Amino acid sequence: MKNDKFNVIGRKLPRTDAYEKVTGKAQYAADIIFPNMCFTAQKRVPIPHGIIKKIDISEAEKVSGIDEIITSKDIPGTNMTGVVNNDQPVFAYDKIYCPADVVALVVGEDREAIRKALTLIKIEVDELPVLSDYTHALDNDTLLIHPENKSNLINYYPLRKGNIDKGFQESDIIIERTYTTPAIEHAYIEPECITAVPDFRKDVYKIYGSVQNPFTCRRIVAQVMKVPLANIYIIQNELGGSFGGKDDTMDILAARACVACKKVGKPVRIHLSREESIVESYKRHPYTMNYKVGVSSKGILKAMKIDILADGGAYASMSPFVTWRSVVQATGPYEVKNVHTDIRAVYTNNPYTGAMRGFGSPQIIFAQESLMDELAEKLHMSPIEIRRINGYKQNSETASGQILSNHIVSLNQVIDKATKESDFEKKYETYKARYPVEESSHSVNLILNDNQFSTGLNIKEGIGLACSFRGCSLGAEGVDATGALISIQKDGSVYLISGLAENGQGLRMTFSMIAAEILGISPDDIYYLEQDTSRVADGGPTVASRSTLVGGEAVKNAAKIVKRRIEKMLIDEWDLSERATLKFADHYIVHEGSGKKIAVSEACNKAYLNGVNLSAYGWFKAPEVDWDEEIGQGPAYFTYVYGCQIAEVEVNAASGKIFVKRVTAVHDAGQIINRMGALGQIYGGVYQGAGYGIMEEVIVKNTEIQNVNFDEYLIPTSVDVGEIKAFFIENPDTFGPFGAKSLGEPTLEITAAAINNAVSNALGKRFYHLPLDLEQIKTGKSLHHIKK
Amino acid sequence: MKKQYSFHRFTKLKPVLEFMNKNSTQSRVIAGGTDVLVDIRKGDSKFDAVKHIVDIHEIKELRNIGVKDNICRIGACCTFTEISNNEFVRSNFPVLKMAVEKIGSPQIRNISTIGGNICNLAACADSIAPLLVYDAKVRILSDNNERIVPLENILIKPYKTEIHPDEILTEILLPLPDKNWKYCFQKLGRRSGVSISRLSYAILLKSKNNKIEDIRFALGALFPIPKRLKVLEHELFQQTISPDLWKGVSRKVAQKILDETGVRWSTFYKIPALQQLLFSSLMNLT
Repeated sequence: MKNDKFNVIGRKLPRTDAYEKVTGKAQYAADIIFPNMCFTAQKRVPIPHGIIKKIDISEAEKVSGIDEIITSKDIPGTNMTGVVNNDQPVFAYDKIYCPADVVALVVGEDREAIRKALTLIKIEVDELPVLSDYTHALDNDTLLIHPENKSNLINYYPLRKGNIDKGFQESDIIIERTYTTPAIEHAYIEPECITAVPDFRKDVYKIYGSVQNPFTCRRIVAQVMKVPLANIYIIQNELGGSFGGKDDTMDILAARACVACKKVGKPVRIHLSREESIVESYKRHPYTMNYKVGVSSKGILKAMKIDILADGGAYASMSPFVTWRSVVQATGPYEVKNVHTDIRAVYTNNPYTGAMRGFGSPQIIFAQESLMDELAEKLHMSPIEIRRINGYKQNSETASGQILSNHIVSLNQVIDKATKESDFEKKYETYKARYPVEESSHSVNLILNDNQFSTGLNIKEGIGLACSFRGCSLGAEGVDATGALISIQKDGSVYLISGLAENGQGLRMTFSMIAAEILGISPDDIYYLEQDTSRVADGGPTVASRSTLVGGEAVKNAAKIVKRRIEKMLIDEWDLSERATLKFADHYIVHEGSGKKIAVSEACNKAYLNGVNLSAYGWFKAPEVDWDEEIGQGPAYFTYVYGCQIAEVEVNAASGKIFVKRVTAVHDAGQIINRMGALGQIYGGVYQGAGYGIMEEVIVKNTEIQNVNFDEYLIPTSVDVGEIKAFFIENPDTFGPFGAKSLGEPTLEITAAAINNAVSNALGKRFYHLPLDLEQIKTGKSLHHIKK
Repeated sequence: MKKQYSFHRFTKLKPVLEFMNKNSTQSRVIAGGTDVLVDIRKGDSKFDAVKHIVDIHEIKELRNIGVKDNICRIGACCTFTEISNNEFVRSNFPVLKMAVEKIGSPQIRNISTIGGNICNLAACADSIAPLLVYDAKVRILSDNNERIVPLENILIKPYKTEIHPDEILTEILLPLPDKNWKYCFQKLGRRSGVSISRLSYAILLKSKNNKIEDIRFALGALFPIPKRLKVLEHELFQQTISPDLWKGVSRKVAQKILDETGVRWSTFYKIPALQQLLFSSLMNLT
């Protein structure tokens, strides 16, 4: 399928790595074996909080077959690391902050021996009181996790707009609701694996692994090893999923492996079991969100007062950035004149929380979109009407005072398309009439009395809508620039690499298609290079749905530079006017006026023989954004995307079980580059969002995770969500390559909210806590099995 | 330290019985391995005394499904896929078919066996409730003995059957039911695929002139082990079918579970949910 504008862009193509992945030929980190490689086992202390008095490795060291036991004493550089605050030890040495902390690493080629040695390490700890309930983290008399900070507050962001009191005075209806969301696990299918390999050059290390962000990893390892950045090579293996989850955890594992590698002088691998992976890796932040909202009788939002608390766990990690996105987007895609938002992230002894696909948006969207539906009910309006009245339109002003003028504000477009494709209004009214609002609370008697038995059908249908706006890329979080390197060989084949990394999302194919479009070749002609920090400039992290937009533009710029050189050479040779333009398409370069024509491969050979430079660096620096931290005002992101999803559910009122029968997803992600990749993002995002909605929860009891493997931590299987109908609205963006924007995270962030609204439509009662599991639906509470 | 085991694979029944006779207390039988391997990885204490893992999965004599003298015989090493694909089982034992085709995932059903499901005896073993309503018997062999006993009699407590260490469960024997039974099987899990039962039940019912002639109930994942409710079944003989009767039955089942298991973390969910589900199922049957 080709369209008129492009030759390659917008087509539906299988990704470059599809064959190898489907046939099992792709090599993941654990598939690669190095000569003399040592394995490792990590020593943890099974308590959540305590002062380490003594680490005794004397008995363990005697075990034959082990090489070394590594502790903090072996670290050449700094032990305390972190992506924002340096508050997380590579090896715990004075204090245990949470049950995931690692005190020592046993290293050896004999795996049985290292397991034995692990059991012989003795650690004396004075236990400290434990803080697990994050809602009490800021109480006056509470214990402090990091006492040097004088408080458990990680960060606080206010946002102030208009006059909140005046806003509520102007309101006819005011409702206030509290929503909570759980910690969840990324559940990448490949557990963490990293290998540090010594180099023959002094203090040089090559690190291979399932690393999401090679440059962040390099910075942490260099800091811990006290060597220049250039001495550390991070070589990324194929990633078996990440979803934002292979950042801090991998950086710290890489640092541990590298410290051990220096000491033993052999390759050292850390490879986590699933249980260790779930215990050690960071999670999505649990949020408690209080929303008070005022609306006029005509349905115009007058005031929103939002107070959010996020559990950061033992370490700050990405909390400052995750919660910043929340404060920017907390009011949803709605114009509200008077806004008063406070968000805080706090320390506890719980598993730490950090980046996960969505990054502070799924929580607030669950709250704000549930709230919009409830407001609509109170106003006797349809869910669409209240969104039409208040939703962002061209030139609307956001809560932070940004005027949405530099891109097409397509909220109404996505809502219209989704409601039309799903026949929303008709179904919504039908189900609403069928299942009237139930005011009664859940019964408390165990044995049902006669009138508690229902003779009707247990299965009840519902439909629900949710929508969002999302700032693309990093926004005012930090530097937003990246590069790409292209090198064309004399036969026309191409090497390509960018500063952003393949995380399984299909970046290599997207970037290959962009370069192929410019150069008039096929993506098959492009060989995407292995990600290695020594090959390409630091382009920041692969996060925030920024790859296609920021990285893609850099690739496009690189390809354009080389294209121009070839063009110039041909114009000279063909004796054309300097202003002549040549068309690069279908493997040929054509001058339409003169009819002159040459194969791209031949032109490349000619260029090579003429000494023309066929390699180039492309760069893209995102437009300036700004944020005033005192009042939470400013143009937070340089462009935005809009999405709407409609969920249709069948709820079994007897068992509480929800089946997500159909999801209609409409996203404006700008111009689509690879349609197959984009559809994949929607299918995967909807599944992950449905898991968040109906079943996923990391159950933490007194800091300890109860469900540490996939028999108990449940994610949806292929039969748990029915049909997914995906549609794209392609309003071209000003900044991204060919008008492309972001898609990865928007696809996930709204699904749970849409499901919650659908369940309300089915049962006639509202829910305020995720996940909507059997017990939540049936009893209105979460019930958990706590192991002794 | 991971424990080491010696692994013995047999392809004939006689040698395995001889081996078990000699090494009974130190051996553990493995068939599909979907329970045993998980337990070994967990370091389960029930493997403390075990030295030998005895693989019977490839013994062909244990993988037949056949009928003789109005008895259907299912080899203990038949996988759930083999059972649910078997035409005879599908048409004569629909409750069994419904139960086994919902176990785990296709990958699990392709390897896990019905004998293993019985011998492991988890509370949530999905094939047992259907076997109980069909009055299944089991054939148990040792090197010098053979016995055929009702399945119900060997179910002792969670993860504990009355099969002796030197014995092997070889066959499940199901008397052919007539075609007058109405039936239902309900399984409830947290998700639709690869799901562990939160509760399950199998029901067979024969009625005439709106009176119960015969009714059989078996429940899974509600008692410590799957269980037939024979006392209740007898009480219902010749009772007139009505919504009120079914409400009463649902309450009685719930009360019996409460009496036996007490109030657990899941009770406030399970007990009300079970009553409504059971009531709806019984109403749908009649």
